[in-house]
Amino acid sequence: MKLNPDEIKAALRAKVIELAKALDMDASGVTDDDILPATGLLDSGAILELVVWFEATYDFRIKQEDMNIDNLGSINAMSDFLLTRKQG
Amino acid sequence: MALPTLEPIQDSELLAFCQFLTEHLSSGRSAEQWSQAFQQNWGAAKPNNGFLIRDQGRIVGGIGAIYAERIIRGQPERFCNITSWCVLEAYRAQSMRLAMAVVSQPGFHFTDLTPTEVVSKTLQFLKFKPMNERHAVWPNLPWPFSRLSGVSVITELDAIEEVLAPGDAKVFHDHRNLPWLRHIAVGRPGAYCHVVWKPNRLKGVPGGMVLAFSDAELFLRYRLAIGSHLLRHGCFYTRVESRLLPRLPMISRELAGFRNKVFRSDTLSEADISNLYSEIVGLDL
Repeated sequence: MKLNPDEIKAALRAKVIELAKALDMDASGVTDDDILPATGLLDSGAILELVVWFEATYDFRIKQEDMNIDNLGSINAMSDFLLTRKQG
Repeated sequence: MALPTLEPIQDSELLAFCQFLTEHLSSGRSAEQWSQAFQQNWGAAKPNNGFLIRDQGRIVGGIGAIYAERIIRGQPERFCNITSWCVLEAYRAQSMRLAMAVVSQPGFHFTDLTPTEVVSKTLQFLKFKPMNERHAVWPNLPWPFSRLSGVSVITELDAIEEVLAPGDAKVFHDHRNLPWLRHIAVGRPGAYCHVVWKPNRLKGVPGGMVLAFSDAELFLRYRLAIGSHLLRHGCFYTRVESRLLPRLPMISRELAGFRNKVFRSDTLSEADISNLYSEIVGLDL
């Protein structure tokens, strides 16, 4: 699968908006640099759900030690992490 | 839903936050009891007492923070102990925002010593590390030889403060007013170990839970004298977190399956993380 950073970010943004909506939050203004846990748009369960969806959608497994805010804290970070993993 | 406001808990708001905790987290503890844990004078100039979120003026969640400064290997280190993280169900999306507000403060080592499993996992996402959760337990036996070898166990508070080295005496002084803690100084003139413990029960059997000691080697060296002292207080075993020990003593057994305490620090190890200066001792848990 050829990965396009813009498409990854758009898909992530759409998922964040969907998960936030389930919590009665409007995430339409979320930016790629926003630190997701700090936005107040997603709770810890929603972040976990985002990570599970991320793994399933892009068919890769995130190691426990990589499961942190540096790699998964924002849309940009998640996209970069995925591209690094897929290219590495 | 509009984003609720997030603000630091200043002293003027502390009682209102503590009333929120009494109402929504633990009704068995009064707001005044909660408040006491945040009002210890433990060295660090505290920037706040944690953070809270409001919706239309009403407190709907918060996270407490207890600040302290400790000297570790001769260096002052500033700690922020996270406690009492409580968010109303309708506002649970705000819970991570609260944690981020606390851990975004620079210059602190962060701890959570009583996390639930969910909180532990959440904080690990925020780069907290889990600590060894095992406890070492050994039986307390009579040990009449302490006096013969010149080892004494001092229990009188003023005398304890007098015999301890200045750094240890300050730690003792910072905690001597907490009535649920028991203190002893054990050792010989010039080399006393400060031990903090609480009565405890394991499968119904009374024992002593050692929360902290000033010197791990001295603690192990004098464990028989300490055990004998605890036995005289009706405690049949000594129990201590394994992570605090450099090695397990003979005739001890390790118990597993406890909740992982977590910490976040770039420079300290788990053996440096003390139960002192935290909610573990600030509240009668």
